[in-house]
Parts: sequence; C-alpha cells; structure tokens
Amino acid sequence: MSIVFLAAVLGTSAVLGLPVAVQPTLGHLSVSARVALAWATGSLILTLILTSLSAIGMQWTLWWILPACITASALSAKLIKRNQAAKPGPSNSTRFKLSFGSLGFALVAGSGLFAFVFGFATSADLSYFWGVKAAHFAIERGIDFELLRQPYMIHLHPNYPPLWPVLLAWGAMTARSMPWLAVPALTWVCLTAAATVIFSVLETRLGARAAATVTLLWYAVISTMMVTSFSGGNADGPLVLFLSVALVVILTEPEEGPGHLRWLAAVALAGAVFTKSEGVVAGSLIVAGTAVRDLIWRRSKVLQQTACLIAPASATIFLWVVVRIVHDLPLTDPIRENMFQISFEHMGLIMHVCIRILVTNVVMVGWLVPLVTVFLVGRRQLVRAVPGVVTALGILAFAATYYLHAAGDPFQLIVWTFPRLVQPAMSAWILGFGVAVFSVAGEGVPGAVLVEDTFR
Amino acid sequence: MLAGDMTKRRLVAAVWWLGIVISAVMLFVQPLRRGEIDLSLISPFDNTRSGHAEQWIFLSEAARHVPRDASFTVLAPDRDSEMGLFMMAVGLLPEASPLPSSYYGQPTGVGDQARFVLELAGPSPEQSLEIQSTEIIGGRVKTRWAPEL
Repeated sequence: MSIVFLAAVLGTSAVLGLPVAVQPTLGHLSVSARVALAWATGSLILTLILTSLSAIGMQWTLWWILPACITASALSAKLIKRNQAAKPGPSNSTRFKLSFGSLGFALVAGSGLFAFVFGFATSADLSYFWGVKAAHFAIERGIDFELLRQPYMIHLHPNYPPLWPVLLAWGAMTARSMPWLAVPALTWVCLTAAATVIFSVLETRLGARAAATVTLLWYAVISTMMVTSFSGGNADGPLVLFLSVALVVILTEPEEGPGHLRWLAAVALAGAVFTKSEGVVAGSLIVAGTAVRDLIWRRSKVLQQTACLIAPASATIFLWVVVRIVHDLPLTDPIRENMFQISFEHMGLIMHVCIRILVTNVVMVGWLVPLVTVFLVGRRQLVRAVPGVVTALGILAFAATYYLHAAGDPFQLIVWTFPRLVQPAMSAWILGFGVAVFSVAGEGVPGAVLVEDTFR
Repeated sequence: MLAGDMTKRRLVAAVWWLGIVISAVMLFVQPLRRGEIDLSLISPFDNTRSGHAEQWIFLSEAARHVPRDASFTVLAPDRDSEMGLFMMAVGLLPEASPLPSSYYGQPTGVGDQARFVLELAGPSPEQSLEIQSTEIIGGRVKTRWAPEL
C-alpha cells in the first residue's frame, strides 16, 4: 500500500515534470538534480490539473492524468532527440567520489531518513488537517468542498493552498487507502531533492568543494530544524523545496546579462504559493530582494524581468482565489486571522519567545556560521546575498506582525508556529550568505560558468 | 593567490565545516534524546513523545467498531485533548460522520446526537442505561441505543 502510494506521488509527478528536466538550459545540472526538479515541477503540474478538475466538478481518474503523462513523455522524447542533434555541451557536474562531503551527505541523509520514517518528527498537523483533507479527497476523488464548508471543519483551514493535500490524496486514491506511516518520509524526499538541486546549481557556479560546504550546512541545519519542530508529513517540506530552488537559481545569476534559469525560479515560486499561505509572503520577499539586487547591479529591464518572475505565481494564486470564491470557501483563515486588529501589548512576549527560539541549538548555528564568515571576508559580493537576506529578515518581521494580530495570549500560537516559520528564513539566510561568502573566498565566482556559453 | 586570501579562504571553510559537524551531530542524536526508541511503526507518532501515538492507537482501534456512515463523537478528560482527538478522528474515520461534543473548548450540543461515543481513557461521565460500552486499548466505545437522528 505504501509502495503504491509513494509510486503514485513520486512517479506520476516525475513523469509530468520530465519536459522540465530535459530542458537544454538545465543540461549542465546533474541527472539526480534534474530528476528532483522533474518531481518538484511535476507535482505542481499534477495538483494544478487535479484542482482544476475538482473546480469544474469532475472526479479524478487515471484517465484524466494518463493523457497528460503521455503528452509529457512524448514532449520529453522530442526534446531529448533535439538536444542530441545539437552540439553537446560539456557537463559541469562532478562524478561521485568518496570525500568528507559525500560522507557528510550520507550521514545527514541517513539520520534524517531514520527520524522521519520511525516517527521521531511527525507533525501533529498531518493528523489534524493535511492528511485529513487528503483522506477525504481520496474517497471523494476530488477536493471535498462540502466538507471544507462545514462549520465544525474550520480546523481544516479551508483557505489553505491545495498542493500538499491534493498530492497526498492522489497517492491515497491510487493506493485505495491513506498510508499515514509513509507520509512523513516525503518530507525527507523534499529536503533531499532540494539539497541535490542546490548542490548541482552551486557546483557549476562556485566549484564542487564550496558547493558541497554550503549544501551540507543547509541540509544538516534544515533537516535538524524539521525534526526538532516536528514537521514530518506537513507542507513545510515542499514549501522549503520550492523556495530554496527559486532562491539558489536567483542567487547564482551572473551580474551581467540575463539569468537564463529565471523561468525555473518563477515555476518554483508558483509551487511555493500553491503549497502554503506563507509561500506568498516568502515568494514576495524573494521577488522584492531580487528586484533590489538587480537595481543595485544596474541590470536592464528590471521591471520586465520581475514581472516574468511573478507571472506563474500570480496565475496560481488567481486560480486558487477563483476556486474559493466559486465554491464558497473563505479567503482568510477563519480560526486565526482578524486583519488589522493589532495588539501592541503582545510585543514584549513576542520578542521574548521568538528570540528564545532563534538562539536555540541548531537554529543558532544556522544564523551564526554565515554571519561570522561574512565578517571574515568583508563586504565584497554582499549585494549577491540581498535576495536571501531580504527574505530571511522579512519572514521574521512578517511573523512578528502576524503574532500582533493574535486574539488573546499569543504564547501557544508562537511556540506552535514560529519554529516552522523560521525554516524558509533560515534556508534563505544560509543560501544567500553562502553564495556571497564563497564567491569571495571560494574557488569560483557566481556566473563564471555560464549556462548560456555552453548551450547557446 | 595571496597568502592572506588563502588563510581567509581556509578559515571560512573551517567555520562552515564546524557548523556542519555540530548540526549533523545534533540531527544524529535527536532519536537518542527521546529516550527508549520504538521501531514498531504502529502509528506515525511512535517516537514523538507528544501523546499523539496513544490517541492514534485508540482511534485506530475505535474505528473498527464504528460502521461506515454512522455518526460518532469523541470525549476526553479535558477540552484541549478532546479537540485534538476530534481533529484526528475526522481523518481516521473518514467514512463516518463526525459530530463534535465541544469545538475549540466550547460545548456544541451536536455531540449528543451521535450514535457512537469514542471516549479516551480517563474520568468517565456517569453511565447511562441507554449506552452499551466496549472497552478497547486507550478507552472505550459507547453505542447509544437510540436510533440515529
């Protein structure tokens, strides 16, 4: 049952995302990174199709997805054939070899897998709403709008974006029941997929050693945070995956000339906003940080480039807003949100609790290591870190503002949500400063190994 | 490359690797810090030590006693546990009809209409003559004789 579930969730998405993986502009990435990207983008495509079917009242069946899979496969075959006919470019990915990096990766991957599979890190939210929605959607063979409208079901957060429960529901429907024990392992899949893409993108820009160093700190810190904050099986895994892919692509763009992978960042941002409400906040901050950096660099057509970056995300937000309006679902969270009813008397408690969480164990390591090394290398290349730093600090500011809206004592809300809200901020912090620091101190300069040179 | 730059480069790498080692060790020891490790894979929460595993096992057992489409409610010793139990029950009994006795700490009244009462172990309300009770792991399932409303 779990095998069928995992095969449906991973396999169907990977097939739908194949045309992305075989794009010529991604030819410099490793095969494992391209497989990871195929799964990530395919999961967005799959859930967009399934959400659209539900929106127009059609039940999910394999017969709706099969033509999409066949089309994706045919398109991929055509792209592969065309790529082979063209002059092949040099591969920049390093072959696997035994090193401190590969040993470290194996240790982190193994420890993380053990923790997620054996129930050390499972999120209560999996059994409270993410998995609950999936179990019901699977039985109904579609998004169960009637369930989400019920007055005693507001704990299911009917306004939340649908990617994660719809993806789980697709697997549960195929497996004919909800294999709850298998779901937390998907968080590990998300983190490992993200680490694979991050390494491969950084490798072509910073060199293998620097890429391994940045990726390993990211992988170890984010995995530990996910385990200690009990995020297994909830939507934080895919959110961090999408946001990190978008960020690493943006952070490694060359200072001059267009970013040839910006389309990939745009697709990843669409995935983030379709996964969690926080994805909209983090995505907006990434876009804002990127625009600021581009203006400092005096790049041309900043407005046009920014518009391209937000277009797919805007389209997915628009789709989900329309679906909610048509099916009479709330646009905001009926449990938590009282917009603009701010209590500044919470400020002291918010600062106290949040700072306590920010200086705890691995979170402290994640903040300090990049910051200390920035002081070591000086201010050169710091502009490169702007999208990451704006995202990290912006998420913290957003969290504080959000908690000011809490009705009553916000203590429980902060303790419950802040350790998870910090995860995308930490990811942005490590990637932002990692690329900046190692582009000065490392063996390469971002943008030095240009995709456009290889594949033009 | 200048000697100073080379030293700086090594220092930067050393700081990052120190962070990697500390974080990796923290991840590795997480399971050991939770006390006794349970590898039985009975619930997704076996090693979280959060109390969810006990609720999960109780509801999984209770689900066998509640027929498809039958209405049920949940009771727990305190309102917070009752809300958590209700949220979990909606997912573990997806083909039955959940009616909360309380919702976010507030009594609803609709729980009284439920045919089945899933009661988590703890102080039990007074037994009514209209109720048949079956003891299961972690609590009891009570069946109301009254026909479903």
